[in-house]
Amino acid sequence: MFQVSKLTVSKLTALIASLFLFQCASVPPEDDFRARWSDSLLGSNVQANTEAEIKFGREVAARMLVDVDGVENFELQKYVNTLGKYLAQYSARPELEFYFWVIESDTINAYAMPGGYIFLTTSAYRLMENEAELAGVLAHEIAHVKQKHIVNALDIKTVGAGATLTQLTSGASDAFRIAMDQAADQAIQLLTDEGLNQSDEFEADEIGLTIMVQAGYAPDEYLAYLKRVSASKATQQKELSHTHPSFATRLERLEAVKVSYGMENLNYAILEERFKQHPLE
Amino acid sequence: MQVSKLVLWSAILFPVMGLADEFHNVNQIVGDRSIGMAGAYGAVSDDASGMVFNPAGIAFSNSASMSANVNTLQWSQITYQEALQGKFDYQRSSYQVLPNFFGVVQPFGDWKVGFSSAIDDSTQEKQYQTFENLVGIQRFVVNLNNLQTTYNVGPTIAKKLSNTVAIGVSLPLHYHTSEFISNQSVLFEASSNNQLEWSNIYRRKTEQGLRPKLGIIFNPLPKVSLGATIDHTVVFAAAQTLQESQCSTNTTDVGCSSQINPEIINYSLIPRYPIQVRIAGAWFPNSAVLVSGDLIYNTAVKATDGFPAKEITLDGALGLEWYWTPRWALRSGVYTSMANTPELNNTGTYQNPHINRYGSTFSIARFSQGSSISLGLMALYGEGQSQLFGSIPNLLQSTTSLDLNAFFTTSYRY
Repeated sequence: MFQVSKLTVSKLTALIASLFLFQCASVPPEDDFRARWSDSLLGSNVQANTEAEIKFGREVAARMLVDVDGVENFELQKYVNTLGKYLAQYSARPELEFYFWVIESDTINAYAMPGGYIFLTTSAYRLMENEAELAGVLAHEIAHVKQKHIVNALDIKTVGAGATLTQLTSGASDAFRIAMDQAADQAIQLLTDEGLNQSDEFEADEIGLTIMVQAGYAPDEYLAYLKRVSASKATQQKELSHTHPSFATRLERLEAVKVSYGMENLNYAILEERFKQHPLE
Repeated sequence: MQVSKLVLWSAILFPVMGLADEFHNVNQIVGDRSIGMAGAYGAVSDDASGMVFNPAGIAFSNSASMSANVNTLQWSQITYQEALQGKFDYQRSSYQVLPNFFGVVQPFGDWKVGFSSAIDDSTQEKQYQTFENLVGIQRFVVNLNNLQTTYNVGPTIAKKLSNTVAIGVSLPLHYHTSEFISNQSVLFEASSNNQLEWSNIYRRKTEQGLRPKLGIIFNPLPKVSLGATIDHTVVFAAAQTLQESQCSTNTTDVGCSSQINPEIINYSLIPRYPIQVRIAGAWFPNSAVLVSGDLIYNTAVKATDGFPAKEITLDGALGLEWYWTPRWALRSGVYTSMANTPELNNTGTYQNPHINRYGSTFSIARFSQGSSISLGLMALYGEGQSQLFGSIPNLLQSTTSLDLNAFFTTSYRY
């Protein structure tokens, strides 16, 4: 009987030891020794969600580009990209690589897709008079990306139960692939027709204004640009008016934001000359 | 017969508070990870439950966190062996559902601030017992209601002084409330000259004070953490109410042959608590294994008016946490809860129970992103001596206690 017990104990000890050794070999090293293995779940999910957001944004951008052409002006595209990436440093989304692209369009608008893909129309660019105005528009779009407005508007849960963005972009099943197609179409519909919630636009205006100020640009120029757009041809601003709150309300709120953040009378950069060195034609 | 009568009267006059009580300095173990590791948490403490064990620990928390004991099912029983007429055990039990901890930690600039609510000690006895086979006694009825709870509720603030040193302070409010009601009735056999003895005791007690706790955590080596705390409960205000009444009848006298008329007595006696020092160490060999141990030293307290002296206690706790996947972890631990009363002697009277207790815990936790839930069991066994019939020297009862506790805890990092 004793022999049996001894054997059983030995086997049990060996089993526990092998489990322990297997587990030790699997445990990832940590810089912070207090970090527990379960903490890796948090990190991997954030990473997975970011990757899914980028993948989804790339899909939406690709679909947008089916119907529009990019401007074939390398210097201009480089200029807008350089400025946009500089502004994106203030987005608090360091995990994203932002891309800015000027597209041919008679419509005055700009589009922010998940993951950091931002398009600006030629009509919107033509109406600008200085770099601060361009910075204001790009910062507004960066704010949409920062706040994940499209993802939230589509009610795709980036974490948790149900169809997550990670699942949609995984292509793991036909159902997910179909859902992904539908979500991308809905995103384009939101960008070009339905528009985001008014509260999202106000939020993007507010955050965008703080981004451009942090980057050193005069906030008044963004307001001046919006006033100019509101006075432009109705056909050109039709989509913008349809998808955004009224200019009067936006300007009124932006004035309030300026006051509450102490952004009045800032003698910040406008950079008209540099902007004019990058004409469309 | 006379001995039986005396013994029973003595029981009436000296109701012993044997369950979770002031006779031990380690009572409720609270928190999420900490309860699974038997309270061996003084050198870990890097989440909301750390506020109870070592306030400095929350400085090492990487994010805002929240933890709570959603439910703790507690069952306790104390057995006074052969207490009644030398042949019948007297048992008392307590059952309660107790959510005994809630805590939140948030970063605040370079500081971490938190708020916690912990129940440091609690019992809830509601008992009705009848004994019918005692010699010379037709029926002995004990009806007991004993509720005691001690709360520690308040803020904590902590700061890392460097990557290896952190300090923290907790300043919880100490609030204790207890209510004790005992009704006992003895109906003697018809052959006896005595007919009936009846007594009622009502005691109520409240205390308000503070329990400041200062903590430090030091990481002298990679993967090693040392912690130390000192705390002292200081009572600012206390109120006690006592009412006793009793009556005994016999076949010769009219009315009560002896009696204590009911009278409410209010008084305000300030109890004193020991200074507690906790020294702790933890070893984090990798992100899947954690071993920790605490020593808890409580100073002696001199007797004051209305309160007995307390002796020095030295308790220990040893805990282990082991992840076998990122989603699953086991926690286990052992701990002691030594009596702060002196050992009983055969010449003394009205001596408080001296029961040393030894506990173990086990829990399993599942993680999902920032949240975790744990389910566990705790057992605490004690052995010692009591003097149920306080007026009779040389009549001590061997006493055992058993506490079983099923707990469900959760925590969330955000």
